[in-house]
Amino acid sequence: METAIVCEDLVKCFGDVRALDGLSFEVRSGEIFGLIGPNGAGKTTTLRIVATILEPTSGRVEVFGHDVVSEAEEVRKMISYLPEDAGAYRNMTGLEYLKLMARLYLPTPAEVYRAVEEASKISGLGERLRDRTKTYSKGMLRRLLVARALMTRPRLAILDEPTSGLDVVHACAVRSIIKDYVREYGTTVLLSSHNMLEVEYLCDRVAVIHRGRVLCEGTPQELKEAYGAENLEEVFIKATGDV
Amino acid sequence: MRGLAVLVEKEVKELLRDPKILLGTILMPLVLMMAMGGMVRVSTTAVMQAASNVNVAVLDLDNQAMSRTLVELLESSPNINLTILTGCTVEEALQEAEGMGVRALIVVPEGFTRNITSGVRGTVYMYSIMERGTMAEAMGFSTVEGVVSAFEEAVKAQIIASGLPDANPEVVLNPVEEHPMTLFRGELIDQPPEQLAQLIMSQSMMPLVLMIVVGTAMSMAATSMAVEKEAKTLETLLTLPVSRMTILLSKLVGSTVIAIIGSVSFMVGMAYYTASVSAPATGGEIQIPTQLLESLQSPITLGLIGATIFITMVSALALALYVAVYAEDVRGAQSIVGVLGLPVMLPAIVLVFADISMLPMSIRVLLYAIPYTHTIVATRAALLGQYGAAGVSLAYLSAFTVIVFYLAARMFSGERAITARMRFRGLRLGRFLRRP
Repeated sequence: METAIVCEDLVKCFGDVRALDGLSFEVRSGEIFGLIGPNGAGKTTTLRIVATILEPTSGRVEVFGHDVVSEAEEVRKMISYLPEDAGAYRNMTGLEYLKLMARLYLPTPAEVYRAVEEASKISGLGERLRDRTKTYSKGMLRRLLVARALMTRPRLAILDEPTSGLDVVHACAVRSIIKDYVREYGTTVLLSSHNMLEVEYLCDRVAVIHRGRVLCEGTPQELKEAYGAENLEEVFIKATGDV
Repeated sequence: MRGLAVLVEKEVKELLRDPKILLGTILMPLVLMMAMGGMVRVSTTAVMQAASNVNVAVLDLDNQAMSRTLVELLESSPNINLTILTGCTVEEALQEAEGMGVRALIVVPEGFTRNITSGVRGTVYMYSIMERGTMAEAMGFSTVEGVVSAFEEAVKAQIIASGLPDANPEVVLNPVEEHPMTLFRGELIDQPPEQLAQLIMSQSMMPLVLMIVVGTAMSMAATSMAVEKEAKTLETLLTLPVSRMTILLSKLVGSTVIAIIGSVSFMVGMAYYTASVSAPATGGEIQIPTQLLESLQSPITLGLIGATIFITMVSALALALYVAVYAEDVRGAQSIVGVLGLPVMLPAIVLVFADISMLPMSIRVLLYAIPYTHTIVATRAALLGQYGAAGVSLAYLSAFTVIVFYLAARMFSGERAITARMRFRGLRLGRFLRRP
């Protein structure tokens, strides 16, 4: 199976703070890989480096064989990134926002039309897509952004807390969409989440990170067996408590 | 450059739909200037009307040749409705005039004609009757003063004619005729220097207008960058499949488009205002020196001015984007650009009225060091056909632009667009204030 992401001995310093301290993991093509860890563990920093926004202090990250620093533009053609606390252009309607993003990713009007239609379905916003995004609730905005991240069928979707701010019904719907996408289009997903149920339901493999390092890695089942835990929440507490 | 058109469209749409920008940059200058112009026009019309239809009363207590001539002159004036009062005292006449709504009362005392014919000054008492103390009322009085002055001229001529029968009274009154002319770089112009200076200054106002445009564009660019941070769209923008240079350029072009729309709006308003203010004024035709006319019409001049404007715009916008990256939000970006605006606007303000060569050496060095001085210097030199000087200034401005653009491009190509924050390490104000 092709390797989608190689992350090797990654270090990231912000002044005196060492946010990542030799972090390493690999993600296989077509799988959903989850990063879990307490606040400040380095999850968002890792996702931002893979998304080419931040540059590592040392170490190497490759996405489908392309280095995220020296071949950043190539990497950006293959990825779609959903930041945790993202927004949309406040004075555009939801539909205009989706069209704008689709036009930047896709070459033909037919593909743009297809992507926007798909995003309309994913978001479930219906007629509200014709309203400006500044009138949206937090949940509506998140659904729009998840739809934007998936509609272009990227090779790698990087999702930071994809269901943050969503109610139970919409969170479930978004999880199903992510799972279906991977099955249907072979999209690889790298996500981070605080919701252990979500991670267990969605992810093929999981890495628990703490203080900028990977503590353990494997399928949810493997991790539960290794730590003698009933669920991932227990794995998380035991793994981070051991440190 | 893939995606540039899409991103420029986004920039323009977002900026134009922002009510603060639409109101403050585009509608406000237009409405404000037009309203000011409208008000000036209304008040000017009122003043002109007041001056052209004045109710005047006259009390002729002399009733001799000279006073009768004055009354006849007042009667024949097209701008005056005259009421002749008789058989009353000055106090009674004043009361009556006030009751009649008259704006001016003229009282010619007894002995007026006798005084003048015997070589003594004759006095005419002129009462302005004001109710509100407005300019319109004062203008009505100046119409009366005009008629009395005309009467005085006629009396002067009569006195001169009786004493110097062979002399032309006009020559005696104005023996010296002035004929001002100007030598402009070897070319003789048959007009006073003030008119030519006014013409050249009106050309020099152009850079000031340009600097206002540049200032507006800088504010737009900084806002567009800060809005990305405030609305949390910057991270997504930086991961889009377009080059970082395209993102930078789209912000430059988008801000310029809005700045141009805002400037057009400002200029339309300004043109209306100027037309309103100067409508009643009359002026002769200004003769433009051939040399100036040639350089004004030369394609080299136009090319140099165009290049100067373009390069100034690019560098100022790149500078604004560069510093706006350090701001956390729109308010922070506006504050930073406000400070930056000083070196951009200062040379324009100083050089509108003064030539740089007239200034003291220290100020000259300081001004020459500011790149935006060269926008004014290059534009003015190009207008006067001094292409060498314009080229030198343009080269300096271009060198500065290359540096700023390089810095902005570097800022966008790396991670600093996300991580940059304004830090004041030396300032420990917070800690100082918390001290007991």
